[in-house]
Parts: sequence; structure tokens; C-alpha cells
Amino acid sequence: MNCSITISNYSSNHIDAEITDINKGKWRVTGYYGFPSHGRRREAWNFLRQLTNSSNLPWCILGDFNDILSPNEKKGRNEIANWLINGFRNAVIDAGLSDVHTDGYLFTWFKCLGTIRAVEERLDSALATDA
Amino acid sequence: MIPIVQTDVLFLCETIANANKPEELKYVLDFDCCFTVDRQIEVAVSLFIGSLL
Repeated sequence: MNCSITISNYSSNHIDAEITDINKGKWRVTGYYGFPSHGRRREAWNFLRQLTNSSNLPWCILGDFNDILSPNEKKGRNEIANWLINGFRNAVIDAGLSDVHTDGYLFTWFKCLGTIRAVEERLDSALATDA
Repeated sequence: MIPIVQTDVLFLCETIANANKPEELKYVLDFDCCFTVDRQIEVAVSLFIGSLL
């Protein structure tokens, strides 16, 4: 193994690790689980901002955000409210993060497939700083 | 659960397993490290890191 790993912080919503790679230097990876309920969205976005402030290392955060960045990340009957998309987008921008390109099927969560109430969303993703 | 692509980092969430299960998965999936925050109320989160970094 060409690196050492330190768990720098954790909660029931995230695990933060610092990777020291002998070739690539130090970077940070966070596994993240966003609060699923709409009532805790603002809390989730502020938590994302807090995580940003805890380190200056190049950073990749991945997991289940329970949020989407644009309307095309949801397929189904009801459109998601704009304030939910904008709130998450603003938190991602404030955190200096960008969406990491993914291959394969876009949607990572679904319910009621095969019925008229079918919904699919891209709730899981990876975001990273530019560094 | 066996990944179909080789990956360096795996994050599991909304799991209902206790800490023993991720540790078992670490060996099955051939990761070097695994850290789990055990379920507080209903779900746990686990971060696996492999040797390909």
C-alpha cells in the first residue's frame, strides 16, 4: 500500500479521511450521507459548508446526498421544488465543489418502477474540488 | 454484493448492519481499510479504502 490513511472526523452522516500518498501527496476523501427528509435540507447544506471549512486539502466527497443538482436528475411525475435544487447547488458552489463525471445509468434511486407513480433520481454522486 | 468494477474507495450508507459485517466485507472485497460509524438510530455508514490509490 502506497499511502497512509487517517480518519480525521466522523458522525452518523459522514466519515472524513486524510490520505497521504507517497506519489501524489495529501488529499481528503469524505463519505457522506445527507439527511433524507425535506425538513432537514438546510441543515444538510450547512453541514456540507462546515465540512469544507475543516480542511484545505484537495477533496473528494461522495455518497448519498439525498439532493439533486438539476431538474434532469429526476425522472417521474412530480417536479422537485426549485428551492431544493437551488439550495443544494448553492451549498456545492459555496463549498468550491464540482460534480465528478460519471459513466453508466444516471439514476441511483427509484421507487414504484413499472407503475404510473414511478420516480427515479440521481441522489448519489461524487463531488470534488479543482485541485 | 460484489462490485463489478475495481474501485479504490467504497462508501456504504443506510446499512443496518453492525460493525462486524463491514469488517467481513473488507476481506471479501479485498480492501485494506474499513471504518464504520455504527448505527445510531437506524442506519450506519462505512468507508472502505483499497490498495490501488
